[in-house]
Amino acid sequence: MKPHDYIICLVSYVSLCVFIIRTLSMCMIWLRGSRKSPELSLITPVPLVRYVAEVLTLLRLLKANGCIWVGEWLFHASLLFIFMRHLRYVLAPIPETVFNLQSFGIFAGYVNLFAISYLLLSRLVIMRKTYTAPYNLFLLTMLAIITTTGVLMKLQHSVDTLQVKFFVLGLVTFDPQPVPLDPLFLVHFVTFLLLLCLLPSHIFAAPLTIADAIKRERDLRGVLHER
Amino acid sequence: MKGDRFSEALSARQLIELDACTRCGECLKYCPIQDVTGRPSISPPEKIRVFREFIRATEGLKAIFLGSKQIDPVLLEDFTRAVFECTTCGACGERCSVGIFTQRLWPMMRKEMVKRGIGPIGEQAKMPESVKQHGNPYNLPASERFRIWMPTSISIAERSHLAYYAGCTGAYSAQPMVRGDVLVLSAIGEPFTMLSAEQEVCCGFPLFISGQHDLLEGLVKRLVEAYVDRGVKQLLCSCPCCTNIMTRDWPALYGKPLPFKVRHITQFVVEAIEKGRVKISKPLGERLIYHDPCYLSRGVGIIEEPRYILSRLTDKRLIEFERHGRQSHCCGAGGAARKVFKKNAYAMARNTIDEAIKKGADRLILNCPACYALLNEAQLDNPNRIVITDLMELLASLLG
Repeated sequence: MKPHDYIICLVSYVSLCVFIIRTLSMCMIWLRGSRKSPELSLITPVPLVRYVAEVLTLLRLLKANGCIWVGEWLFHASLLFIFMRHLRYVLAPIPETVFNLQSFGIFAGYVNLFAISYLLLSRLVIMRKTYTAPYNLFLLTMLAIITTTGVLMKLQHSVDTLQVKFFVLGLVTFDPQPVPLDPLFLVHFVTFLLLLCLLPSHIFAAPLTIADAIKRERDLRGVLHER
Repeated sequence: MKGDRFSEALSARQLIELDACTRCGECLKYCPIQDVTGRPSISPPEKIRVFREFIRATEGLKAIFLGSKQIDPVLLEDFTRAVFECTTCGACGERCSVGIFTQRLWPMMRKEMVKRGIGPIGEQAKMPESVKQHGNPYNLPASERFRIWMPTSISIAERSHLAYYAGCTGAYSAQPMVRGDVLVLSAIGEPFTMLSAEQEVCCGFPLFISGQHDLLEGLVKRLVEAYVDRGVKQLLCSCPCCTNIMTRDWPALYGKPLPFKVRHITQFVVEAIEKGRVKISKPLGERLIYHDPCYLSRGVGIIEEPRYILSRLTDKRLIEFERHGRQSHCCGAGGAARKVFKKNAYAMARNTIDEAIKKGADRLILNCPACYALLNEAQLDNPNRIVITDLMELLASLLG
């Protein structure tokens, strides 16, 4: 282990801590919310099938903007497969399901890159005249860097995956191992750590507001009408 | 400074909503204020972002460990203006990709700004005093509430299971509407009661929507008890804003479920039509277009009833606005902003009038006193004109 290995390991743990503390702080603010909201609270369960369908299909976005929806849905769906593919680095032994998903994961990488480029272009070219949040552009740029380096590592420049696995497993088991000194991997990994620190809050909050919106829409009929 | 916490007025659900905004910007397409100002700095995602910044600066991790940051007063003022410029129509929330309930979020942000002494703006600040003095937010004498428009032929019962609440905007700014209401109710023939002009005070909506909540509980208790004294079991109202606060907030402000049922007048009229208690002399041969009030369609789900009534009043097919029903487009009258941001309100109202004309309608049918007052006012020096009629006003004129 050389000094740079320790630095990268430290940065990794710090990033994780930042992520956890940010999330906890966000939850703490939520809990501080007024309990005396002057509003008739309709405490009812969420229709589960509709909820799952809405979250999985990003239905509300589809209703708002079909063009953006294509990009966002492809991005999120491919991200799921990419995540599954990356599980091989943190699990030992690798479960058969994860093993079987490897080729889907590679394909998902290309789809993900396409989706990010599509979203970036539509934000920069088509939606520039209306509203584009700089933060969203920054996130998309980071994602583009992560995906591009990921795809390049697969396509052009093969990284020693065994060394990557040792390094990642070392991080997970708190037994730091040397960092693979591959420029593409380093950019890929450090950008991922940065993303972890800056992960948007909607990842946690949006599934909750969608559940609430489904209930609210269903209960709207009951405000003045007989249920 | 007391009240440093920006999250105080917001419920846990609303705080989650702030974090849920993806800032995708889709809502801007549906925002009527964007249509007339084109300023993204006062758009829904920007308001959410800035408010979130306020919370982070005063209650976030840095604030906990290093002390809360002083918010730039200019930024606070700009934000307050943006949040009060909004008509709170809720169209942004209706199309929100993560389902944020903005029709409820904006008034709570306003409440926070009022608590800090930065809001409300202009005329809105005079409303609590006017309600205290006269029972209405328009600073007009209570004795004038019914005098101008109440037909002398109408008999109002002292006590009845059925009551009608006219509301301040109808009574003072949209008299043909409330006059139509009582004429239709009278024609249906079921005895109904009304509170006296001094007793029928503001329902609380203008105060609620402008973030001035101090008088709300008192107003609601006073009104509910007055109706209970008259033996009321069913309260009818035609104003969408009054209906909205009565159904959604009165129970919480009263502290328990209301001892009577609140209904929109169109629901009662639809039943009466179905029972054959409303006779229409001769349907109009006109093409009608109906504008859904935001707090009636999105707010309490009254969408089919007005259309059912209109289908009985004309032999032509009803024309619809491009955005109708729950997706309806605000005419500019909402959010207690029409008296303060007049230019915006007129521009939005003219957009509504222009679309109605473009669609080939002979008459624009409204169902809200604020819409009625604004559209008539905005039409005065508008080159494009259309006949504007309230739904009950039209029905009353066609009664057989």
